[in-house]
Amino acid sequence: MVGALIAMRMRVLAHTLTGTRAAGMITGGIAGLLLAVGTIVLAATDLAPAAVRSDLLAVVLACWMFGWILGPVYTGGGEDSLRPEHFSLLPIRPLRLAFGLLVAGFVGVAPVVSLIAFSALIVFAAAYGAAGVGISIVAVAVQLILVLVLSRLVVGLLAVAVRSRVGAVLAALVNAGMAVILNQSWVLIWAAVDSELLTYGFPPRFSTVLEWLPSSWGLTAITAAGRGDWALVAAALGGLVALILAALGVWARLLVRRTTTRPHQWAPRGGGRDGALLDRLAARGVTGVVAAKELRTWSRDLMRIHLFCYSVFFGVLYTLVPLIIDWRGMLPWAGVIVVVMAAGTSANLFGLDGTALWLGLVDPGRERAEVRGRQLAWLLQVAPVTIGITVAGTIYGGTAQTWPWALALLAATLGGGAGLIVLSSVYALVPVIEPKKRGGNPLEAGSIFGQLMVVVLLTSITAVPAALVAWAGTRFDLPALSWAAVVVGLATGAGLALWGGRRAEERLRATGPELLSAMRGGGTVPLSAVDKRGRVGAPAPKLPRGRSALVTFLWIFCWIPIFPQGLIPLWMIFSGSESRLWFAALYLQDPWRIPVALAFTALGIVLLVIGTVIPIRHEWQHRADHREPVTDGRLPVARRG
Amino acid sequence: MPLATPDRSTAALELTGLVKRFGPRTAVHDVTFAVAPGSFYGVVGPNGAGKTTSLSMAVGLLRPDAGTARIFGVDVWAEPVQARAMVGVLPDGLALPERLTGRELLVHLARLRGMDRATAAARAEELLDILDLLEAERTLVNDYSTGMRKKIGLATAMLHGPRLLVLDEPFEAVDPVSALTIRGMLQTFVAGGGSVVLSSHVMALVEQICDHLAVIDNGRVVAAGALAQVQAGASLESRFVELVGAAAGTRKAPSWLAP
Repeated sequence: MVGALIAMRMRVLAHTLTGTRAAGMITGGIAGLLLAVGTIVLAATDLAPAAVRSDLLAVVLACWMFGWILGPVYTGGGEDSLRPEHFSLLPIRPLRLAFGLLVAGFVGVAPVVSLIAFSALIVFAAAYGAAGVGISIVAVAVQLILVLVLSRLVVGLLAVAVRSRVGAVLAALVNAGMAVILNQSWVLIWAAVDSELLTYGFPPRFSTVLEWLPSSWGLTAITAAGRGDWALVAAALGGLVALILAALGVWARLLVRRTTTRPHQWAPRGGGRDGALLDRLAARGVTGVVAAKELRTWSRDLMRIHLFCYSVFFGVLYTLVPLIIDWRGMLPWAGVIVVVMAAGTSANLFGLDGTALWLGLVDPGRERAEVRGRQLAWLLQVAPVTIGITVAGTIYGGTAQTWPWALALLAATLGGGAGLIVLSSVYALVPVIEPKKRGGNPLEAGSIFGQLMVVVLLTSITAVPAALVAWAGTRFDLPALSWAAVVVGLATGAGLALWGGRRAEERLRATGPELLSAMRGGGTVPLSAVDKRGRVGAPAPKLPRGRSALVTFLWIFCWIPIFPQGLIPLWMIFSGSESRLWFAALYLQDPWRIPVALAFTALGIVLLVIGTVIPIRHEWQHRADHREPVTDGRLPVARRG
Repeated sequence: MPLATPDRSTAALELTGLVKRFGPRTAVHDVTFAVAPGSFYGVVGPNGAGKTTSLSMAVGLLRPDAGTARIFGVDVWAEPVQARAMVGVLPDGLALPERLTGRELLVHLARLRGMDRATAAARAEELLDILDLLEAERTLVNDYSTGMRKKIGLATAMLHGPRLLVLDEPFEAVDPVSALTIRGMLQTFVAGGGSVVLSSHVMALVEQICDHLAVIDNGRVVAAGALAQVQAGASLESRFVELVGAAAGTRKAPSWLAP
């Protein structure tokens, strides 16, 4: 059976290795390989001071383990090429199936990369003689199996957990935590530098905790072998094996649970009765009716719960992390960050409902209510939380001057977000798995990453007018002008919400059937393949692999020059902050600080624009080619110029 | 609701030369048939014949590449608001607002259709009662069984009191008792002057309840008219198999599948 599973997995991988997925795999593979080589270098050279080398290696190995554990959470349930559901009818014992799936899981880029990384143990063992090296080879194998089985276990837990509301919230918390750690890692580095960790080594308590982590047991076994302490060697390796068996056993039980139980969600008792809050909302005309339906969905749809909680956790954690280095300055912006993230995660608002769009098509003429109701519900969902967070954050982390800034940006982004989400969801609808067929698994939200990023960026830009006015107020020390920024924010917000709503409404009216066609494809027919007259199925324009990889690269890395090296240093210069952290511009002398930060921002925007233009130009080219009539079976020649 | 009062002699549903291409594949070549008011019309055909595609184009869910669809003489694509107010639709396999209960869904849709709160609540109650969905008061549509989904879909189609019902596979996965209820509802509706168009591949059912039918194969209407006319003296099933030319495959079974 194991052979059949491996063959099946390889076949599935081969079929899915196209376009962005291949690019993602290659990018990820290269990045992983660099990290793996880094791990070996750390073990092999005296790059790291002797005081911390073995602890640092333990930290890195722990990172690999947590990477495997959190990876599936971050990507939303791990790879789905071999789903346990596919095998639920086969007469196989759960444990045997778990074992088979585990072994099949070794096929792939990530296990190979991890194997290379873990071989750092062998390098490390060179200092402990032949016995150490011998033990290290066993340790590498056992640790690789351990991380794989732990990863599977997490996927299994997640698959069961995300089927409930609590699970969706927890998954959002873990997800947001991961994203924040990636984005705010500079704070941790700063804290490490600040405590002169590399010179004095880790605090003893930290080292003890580290030793107890299973990821360090291989190291323990090797050093014990070097000393000839064979009891400890046996205990460390035996512990790893026991852990693997236990995890495998639990995973097998979870597989049974996952494939034999179905989650069931109850509506709250009497939620729709007369006089209830949502009923009163619905009594206010058709827009209220739509808003009430939307708010019910926001509170019951696991995917939406996940996306919304993710935004809240992201904004709050993002601004809390700098407290490690006693910097409260980010707290007033928590609310704004939540709004921007909530706009990004709602960018596919219509798409999230799947083909339920048909109801509007058989009852046309209500597009305005459909759009306005969704905007209203989004605002009702997001505004109270973010106003509360902003007020609390500004009280704790702001000054008198921060208030107009925080409130102006909040107003501007709330309105801007409300306008942009409906626009993006009808102009760039991403077909996703039907709501009936998905849980809270964020991966099932479809490939919304690009759309999310664009909306995050655009929503941030909607705050620019208000920010300029607030800046002028601060610059010329005119509090009245600063407070006028709040009015500007409210005005641009209201204007954008109305304008975006109107455009979305027109688009919905004009292309409703085409949007439904795209949704019907359930993700197999991209909207770009649906032409103006709704003919679905024209081959989707696909970027060649090289360019696709380039686009992915640009989209991932353009944010570093834009935000951490560009806009944040600029903000710190203007607000007169003393700390320099890892912001390059802040290490320069004065005439150069602002130009360098601006140059970084410009560089990032250029990268972003290039990354956006490449696929658009490709699509235009594709359309131009397809407008040419096909004659005598030959492909049309691309137009010149 | 203010509706144009259509002429009683015009067809309830009239499809003329509908064409739909999906990329290089033409799913519907030329579908033309007319449903007289007050008739119970069946659309039958093998899997993938183009039934769902045709009905989707007929009610405004899928834009045709050519041809027209009229409901009581009103063009579905030129005057969507007017035409679609007269029809109730049950599509096959499309999503609903999944996170509402059955009652919430019906009240929501009724209010969208412009009914006041009292009317919306009363109609929802009556439909839930008739379709035996009151038991599942706190169950979200998402957790409905396939048969329950069909029933709630049917309720959404009838909610606004349309004069024409277009139902894609209304009896699929519905238990026999519910099927009888639905049949009763539809027959009462037709007896009262309403028109029903339904697609199915259960020939016995079509034979029992429909008075007219169209047989679609490979995106074309291969036979249409009164039931007796299409049957031409044989049972509908054998006539159907003859029309779509599938007789050759009926005797095959896997060689190992024997006791």
